[in-house]
Amino acid sequence: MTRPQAANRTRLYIVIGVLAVAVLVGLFFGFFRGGSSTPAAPTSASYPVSVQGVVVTVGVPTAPTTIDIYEDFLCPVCGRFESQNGGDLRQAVTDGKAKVRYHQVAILNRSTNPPGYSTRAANAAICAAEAKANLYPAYHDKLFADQPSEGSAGLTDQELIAMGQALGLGADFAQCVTSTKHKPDVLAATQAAVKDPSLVPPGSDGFGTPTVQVNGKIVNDWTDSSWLANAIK
Amino acid sequence: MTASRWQPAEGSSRGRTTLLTVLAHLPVSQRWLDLGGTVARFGLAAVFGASGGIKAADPYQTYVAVKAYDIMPASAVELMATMQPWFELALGLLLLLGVGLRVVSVISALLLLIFMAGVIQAWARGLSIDCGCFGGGGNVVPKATSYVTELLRDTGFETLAAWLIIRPISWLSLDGWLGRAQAPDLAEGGLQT
Repeated sequence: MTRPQAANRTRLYIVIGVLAVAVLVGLFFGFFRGGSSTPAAPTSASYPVSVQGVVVTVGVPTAPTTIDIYEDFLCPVCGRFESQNGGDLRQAVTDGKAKVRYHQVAILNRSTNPPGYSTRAANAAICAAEAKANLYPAYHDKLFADQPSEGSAGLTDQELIAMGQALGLGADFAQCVTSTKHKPDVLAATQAAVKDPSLVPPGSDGFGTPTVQVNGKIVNDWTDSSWLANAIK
Repeated sequence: MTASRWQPAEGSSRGRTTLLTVLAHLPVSQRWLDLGGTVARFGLAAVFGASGGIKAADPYQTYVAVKAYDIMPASAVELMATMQPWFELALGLLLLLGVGLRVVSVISALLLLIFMAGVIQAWARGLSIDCGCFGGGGNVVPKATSYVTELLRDTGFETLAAWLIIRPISWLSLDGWLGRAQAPDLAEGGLQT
């Protein structure tokens, strides 16, 4: 015969034990995957920035590692990606260890009301790079820092312009934003990205943002914070 | 012995009288009720296993989903998004094992209540979010919300949990193996915490 008290206590210990292990595992992954916090970036980039089509390349061209990042400025996971990796990426670029090619794509146009914020934001980022290349990194970061939520109206053109003006962008930038000068390029680049099988990680059902490549090879798990350290090793 | 197993123990019956009393007098054989408990237990285990597994596999999306409820500061969102998947997985495991079933069911029911409260507050405040219950989550365009469906689904899960709280008896459980049959009063009283 089992002693009831003992059986009862055993059950309680098992329940507490399993829950405690869950908490420890959670904490472990929290620390393990958590990004580091880095000091705020200077407004003006200290490294070369160039723009070609929808792709803005930051960092010295001779940097040993090339990182391609496809982002939609409305995509909340991209915002999270930036808050976790933005500082480390900036550091790697500043140190000349990597150059990063930011592909401004727009896959979430239907997720704002009215639709189209993704394209307008991508356009504005290219406008910033075109107007004053060294202000692009700060503008890019600002777009994510002030990211509107899906389902909202997104930022207005006036707000997009004001954010740029606060950084020192001028009238040509404003004109570029209101005319959505790069809209055709953004749409074409998005179409191309969606159709490119090399941008779909194995096990995924299609192109999504963020998509990260290191030297042309897709990064399967950029949620694991060691991806960047491995890339620039 | 078997027939009296899940009736309220003397002295503890007053708190949860009606439903138990009704159940006790239903002309349903114990075996069928045991089967019902087994289905509820494995069903709820699958629910937490799936939802915890999906969330644990995609920590970024989980963060976005928690953040969209817009009730906690960033650091708390971080903690919640980190812990919640593993907590759900742990509940799923405990349900699968069938250990401390009543206490585990109470915890499950409370967790589900918290989830439902989160959805209701989002709905009431006019947020448009996806609950992220089984992956996904985050803000969506207003017409893409499905609060009613999400709440009905959670109500279904609450029903399973409620069954197991009232009658934490099922087949293939560690509780049974640990000798509940020899201690009918404890099977009813659950864990004496």
